Amino acid sequence: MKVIDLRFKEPGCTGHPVVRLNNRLRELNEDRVLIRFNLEDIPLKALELLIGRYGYRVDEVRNVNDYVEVVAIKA
Amino acid sequence: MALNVNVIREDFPLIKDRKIVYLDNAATTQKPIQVINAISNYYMKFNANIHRGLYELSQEASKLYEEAHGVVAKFINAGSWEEVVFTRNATEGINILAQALVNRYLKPGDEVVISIMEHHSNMLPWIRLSETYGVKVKVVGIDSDGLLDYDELSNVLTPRTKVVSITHASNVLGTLNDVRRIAKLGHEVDALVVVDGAQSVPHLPVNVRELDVDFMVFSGHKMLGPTGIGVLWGRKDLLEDLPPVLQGGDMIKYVGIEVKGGVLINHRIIYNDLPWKFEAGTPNIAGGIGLAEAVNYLIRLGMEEVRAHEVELTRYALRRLDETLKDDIKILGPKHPELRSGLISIAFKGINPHVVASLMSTKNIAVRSGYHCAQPLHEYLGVYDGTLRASFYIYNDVDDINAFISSLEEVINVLSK
Repeated sequence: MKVIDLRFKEPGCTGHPVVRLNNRLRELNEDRVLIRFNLEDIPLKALELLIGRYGYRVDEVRNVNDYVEVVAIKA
Repeated sequence: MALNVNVIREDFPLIKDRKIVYLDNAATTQKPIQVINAISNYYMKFNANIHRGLYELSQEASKLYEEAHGVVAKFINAGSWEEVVFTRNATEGINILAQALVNRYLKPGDEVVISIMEHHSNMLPWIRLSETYGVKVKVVGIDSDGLLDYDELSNVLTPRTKVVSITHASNVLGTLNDVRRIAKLGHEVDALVVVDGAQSVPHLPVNVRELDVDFMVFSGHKMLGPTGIGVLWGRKDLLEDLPPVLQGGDMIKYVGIEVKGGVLINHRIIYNDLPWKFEAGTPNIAGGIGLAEAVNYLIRLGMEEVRAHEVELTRYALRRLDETLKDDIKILGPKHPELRSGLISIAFKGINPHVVASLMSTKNIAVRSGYHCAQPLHEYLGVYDGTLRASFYIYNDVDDINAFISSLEEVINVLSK
């Protein structure tokens, strides 16, 4: 399963996790994706809506220490 | 509304065919069919290199490209078409100018004055001169309304100030600067006055001679033209005096070299007339022709009408935002629409603008998020996450604003839960 790790912010206009998530999802062709992120960067509801744009839905949410893992699958 | 948006939209295939609320016009505008056809027509009927061929096709291409300079010159009321140099964009215009000025006029310790509201394009070329030539860069601040601090500007000018380079309209605040006042202050200390017109020339009547400035730059793609074409306008006497920055074909009349033992020991170069001296190599001919068509389109609409249209849209948007979301957002820049261009940047409390813009895009609303290439301004204002920017143009109407605000409300509600 492909992993998209968005826990670390990069500087600049294109470094925000939500920009990187959009960029990664646009080029992905996977049925299942594991997304790691911080809730303060992307609220869970926002993530659901964003991945929906690329045909994914949330299958599983795991709270891991200070971040969140979401398993997204093709809807 | 002064403009008939429904009629205008018929000219824009992308706006017509895609169900999109396009509010990222400060980044780039959509293209009318007239511009698309002009470019296509050039490639289908007139494509040849300019100024090099004696055959009819090349002469026709040269004529079209030269006439394009004339159309732009008339649009900004330049002294002559020779004052209009085509570049790739406003950024390239400022870079060429900065390098030319440092080669001719600037010495270490001389000062360049800019403002905190500058786009990176009107900041980094001057910072580069400070790194490489010891030029001192002074940065003028803004007041709490987002207006340029003219007192500070007046105070920082000294006999060592050689260049004052300030934007006409901020791409974040929307602030319209009083360019005549800036030019007067700059000229009082014999400084050259450079204006970044990237956010003003597309949106309001600009008359470079009335503004009494020395140089102005702007981009074609922000005013209905194609990408890859922009303008560096300068007073003829100054452009004639400045050395070219880019070297190569078409920018010379004569090149002679003397070689001894395989080593160049002498050379003689006579530069070409304006504007070709600054347009080295084969230029973006189709781009120039497309830009001229875009300018003609705007002339037909009337720049007074374009400005009036944007003021009304901005007034409406500011009022609606104040009515619906004032507790959740902070609007940057002047409160009065007459003092600003047709864009609105919004800061949020506890919500990242990238997340907002991404969610709005799921509703086909195209707005910009981030620093808009003006990161120092955002830091100056303490807006570290950036802003969300909606920018309007001739094909936008109140329905677009309503869709934008409804979507923004919805997104804020989702993210606030």
